[in-house]
Amino acid sequence: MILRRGSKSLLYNEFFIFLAMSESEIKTLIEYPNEERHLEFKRSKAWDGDFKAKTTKSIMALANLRDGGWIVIGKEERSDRTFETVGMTPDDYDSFDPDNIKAFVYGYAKPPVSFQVLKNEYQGKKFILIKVEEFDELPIICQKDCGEILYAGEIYVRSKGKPETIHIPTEAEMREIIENTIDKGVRKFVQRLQRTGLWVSSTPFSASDDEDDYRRQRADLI
Amino acid sequence: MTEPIPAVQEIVAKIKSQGFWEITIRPLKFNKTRIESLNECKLLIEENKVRLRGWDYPHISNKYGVRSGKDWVENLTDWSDKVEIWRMYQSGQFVHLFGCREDWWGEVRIFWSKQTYTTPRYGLSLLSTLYTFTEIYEFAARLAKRNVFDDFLNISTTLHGMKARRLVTLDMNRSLNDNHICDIDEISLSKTPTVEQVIGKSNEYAIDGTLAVFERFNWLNVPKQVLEEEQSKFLKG
Repeated sequence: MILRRGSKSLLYNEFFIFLAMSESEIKTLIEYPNEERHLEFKRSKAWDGDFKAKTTKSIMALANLRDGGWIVIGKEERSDRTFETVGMTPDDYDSFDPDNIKAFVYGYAKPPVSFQVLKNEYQGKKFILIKVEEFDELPIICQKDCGEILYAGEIYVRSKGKPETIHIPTEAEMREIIENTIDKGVRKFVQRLQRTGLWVSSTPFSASDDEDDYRRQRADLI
Repeated sequence: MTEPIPAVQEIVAKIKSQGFWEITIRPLKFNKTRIESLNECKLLIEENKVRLRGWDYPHISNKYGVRSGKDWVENLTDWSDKVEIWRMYQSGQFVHLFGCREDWWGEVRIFWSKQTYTTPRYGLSLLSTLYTFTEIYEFAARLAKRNVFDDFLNISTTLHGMKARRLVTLDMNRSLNDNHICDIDEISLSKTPTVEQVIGKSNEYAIDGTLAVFERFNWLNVPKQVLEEEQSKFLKG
């Protein structure tokens, strides 16, 4: 089927683009061999007990990270700290109901955290993928206790040192969140000024461009 | 680090063996030690990389680690359909070469038929192009906010190996239109905005770049609004 020009075709095409985008992205995430700051793996577990609080903590931490991140459930850690793509048991997989998960997480995260729960089968194995968006204007703070896992008033983050979810461990992580919050405000302010025509750059264009120096510098690479 | 590190030229040759993107983001005035240390160069990438999809821009591969040279740090990736090298110089120049992922997907089955074909130099993914431009300009904006540049910066993007390639959807499951085929091998774009402009308008610039590429695929009436909507969805996750 070849799509032709015109708005109808484009709308139709967008639907397939969406499907294809997800497949490509999901493949990369599921097959990725190790955890990263923005990517957390968990072994197969049912949406129950402590796992709900631990996953909520991870979601809040990823939301406080620039660009957010992903949780992939169905990966087993090997002794060399790489991860095996094993998938989830059918019972564990079936226990994940996106609406229940959202209702639970919304009860702890303030302001509300934005995330999507995707149930996915890949190469005959089942996975849950949780895509977490970065906070919009203010960092996400835990608003109530849950067992010995979540505590009211805590800000959870992904550590800069190694990929783990913890409450803010050092001033570096705290400064990162503050800078990120300020950056967002500054950017929105600049965009608003530019949109309204109030922003006038005070710097006249300088024709001086040392392009040749830069070209020589990168010559061995390009 | 379990595997031997491939030679840089080996990775570069692999990238250039198919279609590839060449990106440079740099200040205008050359100052060899604009950035004080190599560690600062590394931190600039770590703290400002863009993660809007499963793969970050630029990606830092742990497999080979970030390596340092005379006045730069670099990182190589050779995993799955991703073949990349980037280098951040103390001068503030960022250089990134990466293969068109579409060319490294191997054999693709078209889902609506039993037909299969190998992918090299067949297509350029429509949305992936929009996403890549969005990531490039967002990354440039983040560097701009960190005072890497003075008043202006230059962002150059060149797509190599485009001749006879067509615009396709991701995974190349369908062609947009048989007429959207590129007649030239190289598409080069360059922009020199102020730092304030790139901070405030990076998304618009990404749309402009995407449109310019699509026009060179003989698609002159691209509906800009559709791209803006897709970009908005991408940015919101």
